[in-house]
Amino acid sequence: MAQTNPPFMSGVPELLLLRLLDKQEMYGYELVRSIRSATGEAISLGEGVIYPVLHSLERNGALKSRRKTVGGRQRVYYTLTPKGRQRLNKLHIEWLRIQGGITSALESPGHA
Amino acid sequence: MRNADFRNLQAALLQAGIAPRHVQRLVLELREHHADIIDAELAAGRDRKSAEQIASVELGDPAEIVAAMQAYPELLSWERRYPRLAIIIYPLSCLALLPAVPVFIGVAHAPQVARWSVSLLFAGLVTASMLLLLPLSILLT
Repeated sequence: MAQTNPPFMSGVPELLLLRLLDKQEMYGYELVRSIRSATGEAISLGEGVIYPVLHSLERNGALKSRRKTVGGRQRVYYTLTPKGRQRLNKLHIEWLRIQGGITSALESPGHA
Repeated sequence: MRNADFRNLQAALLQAGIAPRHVQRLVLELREHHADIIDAELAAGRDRKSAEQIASVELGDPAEIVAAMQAYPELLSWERRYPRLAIIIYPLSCLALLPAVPVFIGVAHAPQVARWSVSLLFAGLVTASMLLLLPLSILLT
């Protein structure tokens, strides 16, 4: 089993989910697999723990869901709303800022 | 995870104060997710027992799932989010509405209420007439 991620990763699942759902509607299992493949398995979420994030995002209006029966299986598909797109942009900018800060700290060992 | 495990998880989520509609949907999603992992493992050549074990491990510890749901206050039931409202205001408003309940029921079941009223009236009239006839018959005999 892949190692799950430490607490400082909080907020990252949300960013990744919004980014993936910006491209197309997806259901939970698809999302987990896409996160794994998109991050080269560097980020591996506890699979059941993805759903609280999705429910919360939907509750806050960032996502919309719809049930669909595919091959006898009930799927809950999620899509991004305009509010979700705004949230994605905000989180993306925030992530780039943090990433820039960490990179610059790592690249100048004297200040790290 | 077997059916019983999903039922236990459902009970644990409800006990933790998660809103029933989120619990219902989460359990459905987890069941489907579990089945998807099993399908993928079977397709990869594993036997059913190992596939089920892998699916349960990958889905995660049920206690962690409950804790993750609890971490989002917006997913809690309104009684959990507003306990004062649930304990004080809700029972008080129910108490205040209690006298109106018979009226609502009467309106909702107007035809039955009318039928019962006519039956009761008829039964009352029959009883009254019998009570009147009884002394009359005694007097006449």
